[in-house]
Amino acid sequence: MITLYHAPRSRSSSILWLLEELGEPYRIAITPIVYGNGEGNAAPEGYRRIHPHKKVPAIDHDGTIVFECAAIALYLADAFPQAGLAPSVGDKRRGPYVTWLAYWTGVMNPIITARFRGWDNDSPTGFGTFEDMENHLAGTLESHPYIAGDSFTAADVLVGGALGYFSGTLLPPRKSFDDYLARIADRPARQRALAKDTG
Amino acid sequence: MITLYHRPQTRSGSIVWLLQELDVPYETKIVTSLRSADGSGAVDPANPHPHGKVPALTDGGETIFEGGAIALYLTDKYRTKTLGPAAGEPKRGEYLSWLFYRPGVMEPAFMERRFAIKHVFGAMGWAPPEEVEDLLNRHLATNKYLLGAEFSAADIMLGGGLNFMLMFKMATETPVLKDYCARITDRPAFRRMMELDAPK
Repeated sequence: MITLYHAPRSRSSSILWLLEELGEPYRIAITPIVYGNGEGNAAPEGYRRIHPHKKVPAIDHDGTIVFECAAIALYLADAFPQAGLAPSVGDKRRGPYVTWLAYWTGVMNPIITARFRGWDNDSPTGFGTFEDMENHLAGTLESHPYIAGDSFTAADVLVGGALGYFSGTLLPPRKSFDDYLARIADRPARQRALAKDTG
Repeated sequence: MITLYHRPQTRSGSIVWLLQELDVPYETKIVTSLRSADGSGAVDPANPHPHGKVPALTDGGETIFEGGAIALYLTDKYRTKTLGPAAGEPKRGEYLSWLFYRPGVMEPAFMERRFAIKHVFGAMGWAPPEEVEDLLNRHLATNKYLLGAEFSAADIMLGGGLNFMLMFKMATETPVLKDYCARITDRPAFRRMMELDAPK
């Protein structure tokens, strides 16, 4: 059984979408967190057993605990290959797939946070420039329909989720972004996840 | 054939270390110029990394970049030596969590400290540096390596990064962290990397 430690409309929402794509049974453990605007309450200390920093998402799969979004996505998509959300090891498309998951973690996430909080104004952050990231995303989506190639993967859940959140605000609108977002928005699993992400 | 795009004494040293541990054939292409953090400086046109950084790696027709992605890609595909549990094996979840803890939590947390940025809970997808140090100290006080008894590529990526941060006083040295770094760097593959990377 899979348990998702989740806070409504937070960083764990993308894993809710991923679980709907996966089609395996799962349960949701609603977990208190402090939101970016300061609202909410931190989880009790005992929750550090699941997530060492008391954050979401984290999953428990038959006793195996996984945290960090990209780690969870890689873990679940490999554990349930029949869902077709990850090219397997040895497949030519594996390289771009793992690259995009790591890029979301190590480049997109901190660069977007830095821009959002306004702390890349005065000094470089070391993660790379916002414009480089924007150009790399656009170049990739102009050359194939999904982020890691011709088919939808778990990497689209994370990268597409972030793009959907910031396109038109922090990220200036582009046709390639809009087309991509339209392609992934209609997915039934996405719609089911949105409907469940209340409370 | 594996080709590593590398520049000595930079972050790509971790991948040299990993390749030396795996003991697989590879070639190294030295990247002659890098862009600095502010975007200035020239990119070596031979470097396939979209931001002109290192490491990048090609294998057959594939290009892989970002340290965590390269480490996972290599340890899943080349099983000459087990440097990480495969999908379906015990500890796979822990392995992935620690591999991505470095770029997702540790790096931005220490960057936050370096730039004296106030941590805002919830707004950042990582934890404040004090919490990161606390977790690593607690975990490594009772575990020989990140995954317990067995050395893995997570020790190269996260541990190698920690070793660097201790060396440059970006992280707070404690006996636990110092002993851990001494343990992971006391390996033939680490020494070969240091020799290969030494200024000529």
